Amino acid sequence: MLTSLSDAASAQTPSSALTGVEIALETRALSLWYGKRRALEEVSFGLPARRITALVGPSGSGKSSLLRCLNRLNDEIEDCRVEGKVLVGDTDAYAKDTVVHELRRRVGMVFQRPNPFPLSIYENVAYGLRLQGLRKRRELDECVEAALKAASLWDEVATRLDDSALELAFGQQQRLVVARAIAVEPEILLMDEPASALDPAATLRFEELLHELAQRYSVLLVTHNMQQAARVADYTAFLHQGRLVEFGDTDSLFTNPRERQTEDYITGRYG
Amino acid sequence: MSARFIRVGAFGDAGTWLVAGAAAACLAAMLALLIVLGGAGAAPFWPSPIVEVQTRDGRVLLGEIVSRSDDAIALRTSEIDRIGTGYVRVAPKQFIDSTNPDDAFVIALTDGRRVFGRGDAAAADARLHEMSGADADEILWPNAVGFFARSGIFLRHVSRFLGASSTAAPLGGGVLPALAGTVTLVLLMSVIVMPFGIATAAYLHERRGAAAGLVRSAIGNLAGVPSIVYGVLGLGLFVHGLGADIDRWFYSDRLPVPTFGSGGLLWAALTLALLTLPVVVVSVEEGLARIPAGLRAGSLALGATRGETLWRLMLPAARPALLTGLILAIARAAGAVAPLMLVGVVKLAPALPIDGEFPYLHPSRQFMHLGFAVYDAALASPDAVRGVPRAYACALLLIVVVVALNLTAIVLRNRLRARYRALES
Amino acid sequence: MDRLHLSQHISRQFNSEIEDVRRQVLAMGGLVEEQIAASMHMLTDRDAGSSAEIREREQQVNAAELAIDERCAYILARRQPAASDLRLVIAVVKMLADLERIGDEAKRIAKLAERLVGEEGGTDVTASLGELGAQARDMLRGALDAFARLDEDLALTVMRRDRKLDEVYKELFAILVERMQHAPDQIPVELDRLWCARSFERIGDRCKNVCEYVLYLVRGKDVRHSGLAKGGESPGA
Repeated sequence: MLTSLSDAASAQTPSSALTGVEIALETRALSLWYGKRRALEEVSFGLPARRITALVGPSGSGKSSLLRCLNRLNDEIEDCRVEGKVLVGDTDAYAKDTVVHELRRRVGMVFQRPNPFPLSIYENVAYGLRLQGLRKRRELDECVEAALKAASLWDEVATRLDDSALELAFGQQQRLVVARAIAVEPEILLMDEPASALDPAATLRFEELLHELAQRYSVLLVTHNMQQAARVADYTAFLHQGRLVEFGDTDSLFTNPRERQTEDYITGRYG
Repeated sequence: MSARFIRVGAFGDAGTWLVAGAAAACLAAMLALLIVLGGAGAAPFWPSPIVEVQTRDGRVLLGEIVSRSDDAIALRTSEIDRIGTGYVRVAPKQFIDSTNPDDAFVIALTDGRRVFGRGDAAAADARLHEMSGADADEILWPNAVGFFARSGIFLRHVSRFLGASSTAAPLGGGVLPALAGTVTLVLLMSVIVMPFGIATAAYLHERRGAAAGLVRSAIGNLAGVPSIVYGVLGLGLFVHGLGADIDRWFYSDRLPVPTFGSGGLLWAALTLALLTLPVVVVSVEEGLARIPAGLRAGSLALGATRGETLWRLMLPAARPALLTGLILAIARAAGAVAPLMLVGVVKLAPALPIDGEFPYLHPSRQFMHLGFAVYDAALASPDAVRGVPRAYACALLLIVVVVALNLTAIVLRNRLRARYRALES
Repeated sequence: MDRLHLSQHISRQFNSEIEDVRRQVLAMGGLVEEQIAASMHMLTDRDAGSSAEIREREQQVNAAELAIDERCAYILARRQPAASDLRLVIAVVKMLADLERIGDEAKRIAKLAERLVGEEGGTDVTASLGELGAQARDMLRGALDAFARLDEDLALTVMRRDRKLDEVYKELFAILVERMQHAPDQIPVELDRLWCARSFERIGDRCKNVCEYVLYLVRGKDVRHSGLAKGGESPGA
């Protein structure tokens, strides 16, 4: 794990708020092109370890693209070019000898619409475990139970693990997806507007879950909902048209942002 | 309501009638097919009554009525020399009287001939001995028995048709080898075509470039090739090409008798697999495309490679589509008789392609096929009058086999669909 | 961020709610200003005619305080304001308290002035009181202007004027004490004059508070207790 952000600070970071904070993931001058269109411009920041960081910004500012760069899901898109560095712990994510699927195990992702597999609840959670070679029934049982408990879903599904995952309510499905992601013990959790498809009560339960998750994982949360970012995040990053405009702890960013653009966005004068 | 909106000519009731009418027409056609085939196919197994006709010019004819029309009555009388002799036409003017004598019997010989006579068992025996060099399959007194006994005879005929092996006798013999050959062929073809079809469809689903486009248009072109052309292709590429090479390399001690260098089960299955490949590819690709993209992303995000995602997630989720592809492949293959004649189907095969001796499946053997049996019975039999009904019987059996295979796959598919229904909502 | 200026919100509703609150605060400030002017007039011109008017205006000021307070609570509940909007609402809520107290002081001055109406003599002291009052009134006007224009420099200037006000008050205090020592039978009168002076000084303190809130609003930093008004330079943003 890196210990401070001093290196990144020298590479045009707009923030100096993170000296002395442990960093789980770092980007340095990360740029992204879809064909000729530049989606991310020299984004440099450090993701604080075991905290929740919110990534906010107007539509099309590149938040989801940034997320997909961090677990190299962008590799699946044709004509996609990445420059700069992404360091997960000490590993360079884009190095030639990096094993992509191992990277993706360490950097888990939860999507906007819950996407449980058309399998049973048990098999959904066990999917990643089986990929990693776990085969013994008892080990799988333990890991599945632990993951479901950590995702606050165990109590609701313990008696029906063999039911189809598609029969769960949306809020439960989203927690199942979280369980699936944490079953393989990632270090970092990327969440792309995970609560946007949930009703208010389910959203709040999900936010409670986020707080628990942040004790073990470093969470990067993309959200459109300013109030959610304000409620949940320890740190907030504001992205605008592919550029990281401001990064800081949520309290000061929401009471006294440094940048004009940030102020305009969070007070609803723009965006 | 605003006066701006005036709907003229809405496609309402008239459309419903049109649609319903079309659906009814399809159902009617299907029923007609089944009825015609059923009736005409079952008819030859029902024991027909024997009549004795007296003509004006003093002839007494004993035999089975083959057809009745305004012009004449056609009778099949004893076939002394060969099959097909013995048909007599009696003009209505010549016709005096016909009776159904109880003691009339018919002897069905093993070479297919039918001989009629009157009397008891001893008389039948005597008549049999008059016929040179032939044994009797069965001797019947059809006029003397009631409906239940006739049904029993009918069932016996049907079971013999289905269960007995073919003999050299034309029109005689059962179709068990043809049945076995057809089913074996379809199963072997399925085993060959499904992996290739799934692999191709997976490739087309994953890749998008120029190469994929080339493959896709190749598949499309394959779909339009007439089936007989496939037969020629199979003959040239597999039988004379690959088969000859295999013979040279592995079976040179048996040459010049060809092992794989002639038509056989394997080449026929391969040819049919080529024929049905486009159907499977299209169906499977369609099924893969309907899987929500989020599922694939979710699997990749968990650290699965593309291959693992395909194998563990997407193909299982596309199982209904895989079965649809299989059903369509079977349907297409069932109708393709022409190519088979070039690559391995024969009229009479010395042995079954599946039997008890190791290695149990003999891919180099020639085999028989129900579709071919239809052709053979209808067009190439020595007695057209008996050949055509036999063709109907074979056709009915073929339909039954295809429908049975399809129904199995459909039931399986429906069960799988129910499991994945929520996925598509 | 250097100059804060509040531009249009995307939500016009929200925009007008914020603008309404600002307007109402300035209106309330204007009322309070009038209170001071009226009570000063009573004091220096020995004219008791405006006392009814003062009492009535006091009601209006109190009503305004309640109304604006409620408005602010609604904005917080419904709009979840952030950054400058949030600081505006917080500043307004604090300003209300100070403005209302200023109004109370003005009322107190008016009561004292009523008692002093009949007193002859002490014209120069009364004139000095008037000076003090004028300075206090100017401070209030300056603070309100600073709020209206979000003028950081003006707020600082007004905050520094409080020192001068305090000095003038101390001088007046000394003079009044001397007069009390010379003419002990006039002590009640002089005491009344002393209380007036004290009220004006308090008004000045409250205006300084308002300026601190304006600085908080503009800069985003809480400048209370930082000795800003004492030092010459403002600390770094």
